[in-house]
Amino acid sequence: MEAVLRSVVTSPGVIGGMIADDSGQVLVRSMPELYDTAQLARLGTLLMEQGLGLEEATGGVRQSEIRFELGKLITRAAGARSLVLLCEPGVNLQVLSIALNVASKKLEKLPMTQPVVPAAAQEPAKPAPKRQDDGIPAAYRSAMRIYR
Amino acid sequence: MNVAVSQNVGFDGEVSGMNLPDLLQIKAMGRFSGRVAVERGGKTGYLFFRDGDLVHAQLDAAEGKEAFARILAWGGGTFRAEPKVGTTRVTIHEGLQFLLLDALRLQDELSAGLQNGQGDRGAAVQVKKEGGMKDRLVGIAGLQEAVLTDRNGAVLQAMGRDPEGVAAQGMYLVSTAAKITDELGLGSFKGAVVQGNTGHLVTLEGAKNFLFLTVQGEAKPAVVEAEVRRALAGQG
Repeated sequence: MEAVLRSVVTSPGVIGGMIADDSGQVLVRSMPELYDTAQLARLGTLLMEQGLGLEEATGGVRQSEIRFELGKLITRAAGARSLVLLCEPGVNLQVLSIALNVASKKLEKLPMTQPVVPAAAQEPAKPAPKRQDDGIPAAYRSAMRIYR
Repeated sequence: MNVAVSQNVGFDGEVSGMNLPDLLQIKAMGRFSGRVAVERGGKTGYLFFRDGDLVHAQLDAAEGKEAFARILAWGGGTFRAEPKVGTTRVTIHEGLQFLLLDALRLQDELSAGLQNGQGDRGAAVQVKKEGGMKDRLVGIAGLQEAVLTDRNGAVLQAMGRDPEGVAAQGMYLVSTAAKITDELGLGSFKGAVVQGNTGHLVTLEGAKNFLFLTVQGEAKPAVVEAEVRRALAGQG
């Protein structure tokens, strides 16, 4: 699996990548060291939830490309796993798509392995807040016009 | 869904003219037990309370915080409080205030990202004439729906059958992107393309708006996006 990831993170414009399973757990990582395993675990969970949230609208997400000011995050589904790539903003997606096609095919054929990040490490670092019945500042509440 | 009907005392009925966060806080303070049904664009989400605590949320197959966030992201709807409907499910363990503040935090982050990105007009969506979006986009091959919203997801202009649903999907994607950049420090959100098996969702970001597009499954979303940008820029 490391070899599959390496084959795609060496593509031009790719900063790093990881492979996650269908529950969002990180199986293999080749991300910049500034991101710790807990951050990548949360990223895996967010991407997994996004896929679930948009499943009905898309018939199942095959690939997502989220553009940010400083980079692009590309996720390609590969069977029960996903390839996640962090790329430079100007990455050539046509060239990268070829590498992703090859890598995802290889990944689909590989047997499942245990996550590289233990389940406990995937929990949010901060403790769950206590329940409260009030506490939103009035100014915040009036500003919170999510609903018309 | 594991739902039980019990003999609670109280009223049930529909509420209008109130936003959902306010309604939920009132329910929490009143130690409400029962179900709040929220309807929007033909979909219904359910929020279950037990003694004022939000314990479960359900929207289609989604449950818990994800369902709660998606219902909030609708940006409007019809509410119906049903005190006689309960559940044994517990999928939410955070307090209501925490969940609402988390939603507010996302809104703030999005606003901050907007201000930082206002100079980046090259990548932004610019609809030159308020009333002209539909005329400009109709006829683009593969484009199913186009929905222009404000930064909170409120629909301003739309082309297609289910603008509220498309806006909700788009805002859900936007909120996920905000959490991702919060983790990875990638700066402000600039757009997204989600390719699916039966359809695609394209999100374009403007200085004051989002434009959400749904694209037919057999079409290439990148081609449709390019056509839309060209049409809105008045070059097509």
